[in-house]
Amino acid sequence: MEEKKHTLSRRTFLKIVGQTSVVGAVGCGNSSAQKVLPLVKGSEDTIPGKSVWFNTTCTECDAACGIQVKTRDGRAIKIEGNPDHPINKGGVCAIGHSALQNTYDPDRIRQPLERADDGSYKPVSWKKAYAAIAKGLKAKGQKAYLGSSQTGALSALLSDWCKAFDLTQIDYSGVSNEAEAKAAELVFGSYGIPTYHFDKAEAVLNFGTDFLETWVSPCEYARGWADTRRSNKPCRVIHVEPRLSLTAGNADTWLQSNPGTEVQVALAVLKVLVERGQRGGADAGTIEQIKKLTEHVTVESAALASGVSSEKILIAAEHLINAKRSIVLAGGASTATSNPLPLMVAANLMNLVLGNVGRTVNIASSRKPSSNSLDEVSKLISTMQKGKLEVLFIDGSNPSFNLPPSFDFIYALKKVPLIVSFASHMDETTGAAHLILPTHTALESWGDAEPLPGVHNLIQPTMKPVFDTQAFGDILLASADKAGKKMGEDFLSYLKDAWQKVHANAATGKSFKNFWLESVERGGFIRRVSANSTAQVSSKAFALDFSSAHFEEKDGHTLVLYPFPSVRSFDGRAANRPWLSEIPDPVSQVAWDSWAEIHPDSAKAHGLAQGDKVTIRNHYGEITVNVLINRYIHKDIIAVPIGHGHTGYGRFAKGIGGNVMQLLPALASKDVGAVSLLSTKVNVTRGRGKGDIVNLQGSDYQMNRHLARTAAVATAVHATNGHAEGHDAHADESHGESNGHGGHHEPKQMYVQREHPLYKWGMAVDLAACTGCSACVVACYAENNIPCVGKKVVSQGREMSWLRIERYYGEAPSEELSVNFMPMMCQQCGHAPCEPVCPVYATYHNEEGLNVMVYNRCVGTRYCSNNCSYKVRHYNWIQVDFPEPLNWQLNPDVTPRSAGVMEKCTFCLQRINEGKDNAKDLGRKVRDGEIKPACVQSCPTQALTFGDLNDPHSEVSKRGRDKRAYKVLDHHLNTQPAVSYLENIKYEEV
Amino acid sequence: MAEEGKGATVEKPKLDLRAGVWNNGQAAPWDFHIIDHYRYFNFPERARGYKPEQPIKFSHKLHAGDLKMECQFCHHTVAKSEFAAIPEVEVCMGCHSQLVNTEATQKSEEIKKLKEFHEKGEPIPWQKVHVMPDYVRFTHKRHVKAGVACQECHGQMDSMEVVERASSMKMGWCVGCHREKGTSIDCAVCHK
Repeated sequence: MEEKKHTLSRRTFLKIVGQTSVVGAVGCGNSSAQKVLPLVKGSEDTIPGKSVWFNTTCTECDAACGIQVKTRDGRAIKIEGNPDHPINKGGVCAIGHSALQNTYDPDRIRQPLERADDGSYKPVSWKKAYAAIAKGLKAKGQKAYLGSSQTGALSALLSDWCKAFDLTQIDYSGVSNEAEAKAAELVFGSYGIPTYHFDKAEAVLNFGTDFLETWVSPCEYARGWADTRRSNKPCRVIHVEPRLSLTAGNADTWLQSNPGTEVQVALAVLKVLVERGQRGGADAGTIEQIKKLTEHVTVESAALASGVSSEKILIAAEHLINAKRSIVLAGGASTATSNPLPLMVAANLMNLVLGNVGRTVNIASSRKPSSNSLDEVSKLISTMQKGKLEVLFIDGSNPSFNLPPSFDFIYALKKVPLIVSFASHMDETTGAAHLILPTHTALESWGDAEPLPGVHNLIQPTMKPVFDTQAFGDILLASADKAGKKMGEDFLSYLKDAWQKVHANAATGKSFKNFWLESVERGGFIRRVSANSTAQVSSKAFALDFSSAHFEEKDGHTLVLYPFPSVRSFDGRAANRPWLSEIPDPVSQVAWDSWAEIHPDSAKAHGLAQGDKVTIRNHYGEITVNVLINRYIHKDIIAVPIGHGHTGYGRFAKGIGGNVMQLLPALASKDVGAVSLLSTKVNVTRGRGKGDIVNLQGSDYQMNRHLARTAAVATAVHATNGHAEGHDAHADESHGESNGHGGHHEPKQMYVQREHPLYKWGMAVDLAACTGCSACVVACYAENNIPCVGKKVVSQGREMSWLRIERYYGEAPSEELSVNFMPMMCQQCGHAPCEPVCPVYATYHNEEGLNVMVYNRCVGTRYCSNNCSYKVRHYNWIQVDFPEPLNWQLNPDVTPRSAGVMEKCTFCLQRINEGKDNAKDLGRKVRDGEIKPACVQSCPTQALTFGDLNDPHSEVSKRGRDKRAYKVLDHHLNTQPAVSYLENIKYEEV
Repeated sequence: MAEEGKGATVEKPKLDLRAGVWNNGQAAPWDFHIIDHYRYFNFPERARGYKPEQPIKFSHKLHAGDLKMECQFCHHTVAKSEFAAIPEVEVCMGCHSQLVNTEATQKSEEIKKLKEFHEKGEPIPWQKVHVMPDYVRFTHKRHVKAGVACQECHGQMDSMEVVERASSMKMGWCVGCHREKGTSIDCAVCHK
């Protein structure tokens, strides 16, 4: 956000000090009079000071998680997962949280705009805008709608609208998982991405999908994955990808493959499976075809092509055979080659022969991904170039940014006489429109979605619109009305009509009115769909070209360009949200930037060093970004995140990195209408200027300090089982919290031990379940009004994040890679080093075990921060303004801090107070699980637990007594933290 | 901000004791009225005796005193929420449109103003008298439920023609009462 500039010379400073002291002596001239405005009309639901919650649906990606939006005085201030929703079960990802900043984006389009002759935009009234759009709709000649096909009733309305006005509707929505859905159609017979039950799997072989970060439905998969990781039989994850992604880092084994060669590994494993007699649900004909397909593939040839050793391929196959239930996945960035289907088909065939279909791979319940039809987009572009397109309607999908420029879309746009945009944000595409009718965001509008069969999600407005915008559905209906074709009154009644069908199918016996009200209250309606479909392998599946991917290459092009979506920018739509820019990327730990990840050897060969910029160039374009040297990336690739390098988006997205799409050819993947991401080689040279990468991870290795620990599954699981009987019995004995993992005896205490008569709040962090997804970090920003300070200040090490995810590659560089993610928040030490050094008693230990920080008492000596062993205290070096209306999101229960004040996590004190308050009303103590700090609530895998350590039966106490539990640095410093960490678990070798 | 305060008149506080107000509204014995009031140490709006002119001359003396209406009849969220909340314009009109729609009230200038606000659908811009700093978490609900009388902080509202600030609301004053009543004086209870 905006940093206030201090341009104050010493002389001016002294002058001001002199004057202020005079003013101070005379008295303050200002008035602090405030007004208090009552409501005009009250309602029973709105009590001033009480939050109102709305159940609705997240629309940030196709996953469609159920969310609860907390509103205070009519403004949405926080997003939380809906615990009753079958998809996310209470978790929300980082992008989901940031939907708030999307709605309160100061760069949103505030009213309908019309382009003047000089290219500037001037506001127009809705009436005029509708008159203009009606003219466009009635225009003769070719008209087209290019954009996302939307969901549910809106999707139906949109296609009706397009048909009514003779528009060519072309689907385009940026990142898409169409290939996965097509591959499932070839093998299983039904189009769509099957539901994967990670919680039931014992082994997972994963070709490139980043299912813990961005792939298809990350909250859902992460929860399933964590459920098995915590169980007695954790699933073993084997990940094949050239780059160390978040999912690769969490896998037990990461097999680094040559880019585009995964299909050979897949075929080799498939061959072994069939040779070893795996049949599963495949009929004899299919087995014959598989045998024929894998005839020429051997494990050795696959090993040679992919760089994965043949033993590892064999062992991976062995694990799949030995597991009772398994999953084989393929998808994501590393598979988005020019010919992505063969690998995915091979993976699906493996699922088939392993008998996973119907057990861990539910093909009856499949997702229909948003589709792209690049062929039609290309056709449209050529029509546009010929000047034959009269009117183009677009939405916020932003093809000017995320379609490779080699499609020539930007130039074609200039040939269209009238472009009408239905976007809520100004972006590269909308910036070329002649008329902009701004739409509501999902937090302001009605809608629905059916991500899985039987899961009917409702989207409801949680607040009045921030700006003078309208719902997309209403714009469609009103413009149709103006153009002389009445399609409906308003979108809400259209939606209700559509839900009559859901009501009829549901057969609940309730009247529609009750059914509707209940569904709105719950955020949707879940209907059990029992459809047992059997896989029908299409012969087309075997007709594909199963060779390794080819890369477009010219002289001097040495490295394969590897674009990937990240949780921070996704496909570019989330680039203007300060929270997502400020949090570091979980794996690379880079904040406020995009980067090019490159192996040290390749860097050396190209004359690059850490701290440089790199110019990546090919015959399509060039971008210059910061270099990040990473020894765990494949030598042949250079990886750049997608979604940065905006030129016409918002203020926060400006000047960040480069747009990797500029280097891609105008090439759709074979048989799939999506951009082929992994398809070209590039030339890499040292860029001009000095690099300014901001990397927040101090040390990549733990230097044998054992902060984030990992145990082998064999020992850890055994120990956990043992504890259940053995350790609980001793719960009442005063073994105490300091009896950590270190194996040391109860230490002799120099200080008086504190007493906590009523509650002793504590937290447990299960590292085995933590994926490092950073959802908790964004939740913390949202809940606690943490300011985003911007790249410059972050680069000085002055980020304000109360909770950070530390990523370690292992204990020491010499050891084998063992990635650990570790959420680090204030440990609320029993013997806190920060407390005794505060000269003004602004921080102290309270009776409930919290290390309280009184902000208005703090004078900013920073002694506490210097003395903190965990670096979790953050000092406000600058006063940060939240530009209107981003400040609407601020939580009124937490005071915003000013410059010169130290701040830190207090386990969401406001939530503890609220929980105690509610319990007091009921005349009892707080029950376990009633209070959830923002991070705990948001965690998609429930890796974090919060509760009362005084209660031996609380979940947090139980986890704290687990054999895996330890406390960070406690054995060195005797800080007696209230946060227990549970060791990560990993299988030792493949 | 400066303009907003112009309507406020700050009378010198009376030196008499305020009946029912806890510790006479003082944080400590040395927290004299004069210091409490004077601008050297605080804004007059934050001192005892602050008595701003309100947009409508609403009389608590008439409503709460003479007519003996319960406080919670109008301030109905006081036991439910942090905020006692100024009653909605609708609540005023609830009585004044039907029950108390006599000739005398119809003539009243003040009620005309009220009706004007109601017709325009605008909130009445009341001047805030008891102001808490942003960093304080004070909940009416807990205090009311614990049996603290409204008067202990707000003074004898039933005899006030114009509402005035009856207590200093300084931290020492809060803590004094908390100490005396044996409730928690942990910083985290109030500081947020």
